[in-house]
Formats: sequence, structure tokens, C-alpha cells
Amino acid sequence: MQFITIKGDTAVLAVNGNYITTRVKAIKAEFNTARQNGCTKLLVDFQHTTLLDSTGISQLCDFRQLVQPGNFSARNAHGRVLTVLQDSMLDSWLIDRG
Amino acid sequence: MKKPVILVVHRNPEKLLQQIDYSLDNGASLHSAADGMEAMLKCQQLKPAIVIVDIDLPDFNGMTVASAIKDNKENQALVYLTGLEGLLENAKADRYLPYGIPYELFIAQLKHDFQQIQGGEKLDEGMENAIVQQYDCLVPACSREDTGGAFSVNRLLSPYYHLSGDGLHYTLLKSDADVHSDNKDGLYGFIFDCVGHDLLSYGQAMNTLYILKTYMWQYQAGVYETLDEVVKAVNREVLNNFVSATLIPTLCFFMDIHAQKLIYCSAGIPSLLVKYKDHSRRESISCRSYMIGYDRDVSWHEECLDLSSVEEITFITDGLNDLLREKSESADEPMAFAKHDDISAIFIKIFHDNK
Repeated sequence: MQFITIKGDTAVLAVNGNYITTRVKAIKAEFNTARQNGCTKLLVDFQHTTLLDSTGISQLCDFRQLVQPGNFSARNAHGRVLTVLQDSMLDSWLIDRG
Repeated sequence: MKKPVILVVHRNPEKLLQQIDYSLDNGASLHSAADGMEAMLKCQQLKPAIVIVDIDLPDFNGMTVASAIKDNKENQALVYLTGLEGLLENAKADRYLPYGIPYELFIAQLKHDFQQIQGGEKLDEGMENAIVQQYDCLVPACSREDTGGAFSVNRLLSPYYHLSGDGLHYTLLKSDADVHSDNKDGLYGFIFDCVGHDLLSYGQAMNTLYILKTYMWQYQAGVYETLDEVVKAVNREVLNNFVSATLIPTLCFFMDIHAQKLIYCSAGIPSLLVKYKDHSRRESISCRSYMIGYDRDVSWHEECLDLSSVEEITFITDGLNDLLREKSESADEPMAFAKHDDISAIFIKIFHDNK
């Protein structure tokens, strides 16, 4: 899989570059596969993500509902990604915020 | 439906065939010829829509093969010549691709030609009608004369991939001086961005447009006293009545031109850019708030901006904001793609010399 790595019961979603409209279909397919393989938690690692658009945010909100908010977290947001999360009050997802 | 035939003429065609098959989503019937003679025979037999001829063939020069295919009036094929380092006199083809051309450019050209052969990107009737309706809903620009000289308004709606999930609206209220009205004069408006670019997002955008218009009219009429009450009511409406869950980053505003104030309430991503008098750059005003549709139990805050030294106000969706940031010093890394979705905006120019 290109975007998701499975670690036990956790799917780690790491998008290199742009997490945007044109990628959500492929990410959704991998997320479904991870769930079929027993993943009940989702960790989004933004370390190598440089852009997150509104479609990407919407998809993450969908994923958060699917795994339940308590099983959803994110980390390593920076630059434009951190700004957009802050603008929409979603930086509360980040487990490593100051 | 019969798949269009593509014939690849190459010494070692396997890799290229695989790449084309992947790039065209298995939409073409692919064939190969290892030399020029086989290529000319297969052209007669298969009637390909596209023939891709490499210059370096074991029997003839690829330019000869391409030219011979073009000369034969039985062939209607679009002919590509690839691997070119020079061109022989009298060579014929439709696409001349030099040696070392980036693979992505070759594929982009091929995909474009293939779509044209398939009849282009034809939209179904529902999509065609929706596009007409979307643009019919677009509110016209207001000139300085329309507003009595105080300001002008323009707008931009991003139509990326047939239908935009973006929406915007504004209403100019100018009371007749002889008629008493409780409504405040000024510009009432909003901008939002439903995610997606298809009929589903279009439906959500149209519903959102209707709901926001309704609640802004009520605000205008004094049913709601503040814009955060408006946003909260819209949030409730969206969570209760939208069939599928959606997030709607939104910004609502009222520009009170007599009082020189902009009152606004942000719900998520849409941003506010302000250009002050004697400043060359637009300043981004931070709008930290939840998107509509995210949660039932959140609140928003109405903000007020003094306009006495403001020349321009721009309300923008996230795509345009990203593009503007791209050209600013704060861009940490350039975008690796040509972003052209969610670039909608309302532009307001304020004239302080108005009497």
C-alpha cells in the first residue's frame, strides 16, 4: 500500500506531498483494506505532507467517525497543513501539539 | 462498446504497452509491431485509432513507416513519431516527440488524444443542466455606481472538474431615504466550500446556498441579531437535514458602510484578506473556528473589523488561499501540481473619497 502502513491494530496514514482531492479515492481504498485487516485505530502522520485541502480534511473527518474519535489521532503537522488544521480547530487531533 | 485500437511500433514494445494500458485505464485495445513491415500490415488489418512509431526500427527508419501510414488514405490513424533527434525531409506524422521527452508529457498527450477519439469528455444531461444552473445562481458583480459610490464588489467561482462545491452570494441593501426600514444598509454575503467536485457536492452546494441565503435574509430582517447565531442555525440545519454527512467551511459577513465596519463570522477554512491604505500587501486575518457540519455542540464568534483605513477586502476559499501563500514568503515548500480547485472569492474595493 502506498499511503497506509499497518502496525498491529493501528493503520498509520502518511501521505507524501499533497493530501488533496485527486488522492482521496486511493487513500479511501487503502483505509478500507486496513479495516478489513483488523485495524481499529487510525494515526495520521503529517510529517511528509505539505498540503491538505478541504477534501482531505473531510475525508479525515469521515475516517475519524468510522474508527470513533477516541481511536483517531494525528501528529507531525507543520507549515500549511498545521495552519489549515488550526484554522478549522482540528489541531486538537494532534497528539504532539505544544 | 468496441475499444479503440492503439498500435505500438517498437523493437521492445512490452514496457510501453504496459504503461499505456495502465495510463488509459485499460480503455484501449493494444497491439504491437516489432518492425516497420509488420506495422504497415497491421495498420491495414486492425485500423488503429492511434499508431505510435519509434524512430529506431530494425528494418526501416520509423519516419518512413509513419509517413507511409499517413499516406495511405485507408488509415485514419493519428500517428505519433517518438525518439526523434532530427527530422528527415518529407517525414509525415501528427505528433512529433523528441528523444528524451519526459514520459509524463508523452502520456498526457496520448490521454488527451485518446479522450478526443472516444468523443471527448462528454457530460451527461444531468451534469450539463447542473452547470447551467450553477452559473445561473452566480450573483452579478456590483459596480461603484451600483453601490452609490462607496464600494464595488466582484467575485470568482471555481468550476474545477465540471462542478464546483464552492458557493457564494451577496445582497446589496440600499434603503429608500423616504421609506422607513429597520434593515441596515450595506452588503450582506457569504462564501462556502462543500468538498468534492461532482453531482453530489453540487447538490450539497445548492442546498447550502439556499439555507445560507434563507438565514442571511432572516439576519437582514433582524430575526437573528448576530452572525454567530446565523452560523449556529445553519449548522443545526445541516446536521439535521443533509442526507449525507458533510463539512461546509463558511464565512458570513455584513459590511456596514455607514458605520465603516465589517462584521463577520468564520466557520472553518475560508479566509479574510485585508489590504490597508498605503500598504502594498494583503494581510490575512486569522479566523480560527469549526466548520459547519463538524459537531453539534460547538460555538462561533462574530468579529468586527474597522474599515476606516481599509481599501480592499477579499473573502477566499482554501484553494485560492494556498495559491496566494505559494507566492508569499511564508510558503515552506512549493506545490508540485497546478492547483485549480476551490479558488472562489468575493472581492470588495472600498472608496473613501465617497461623498
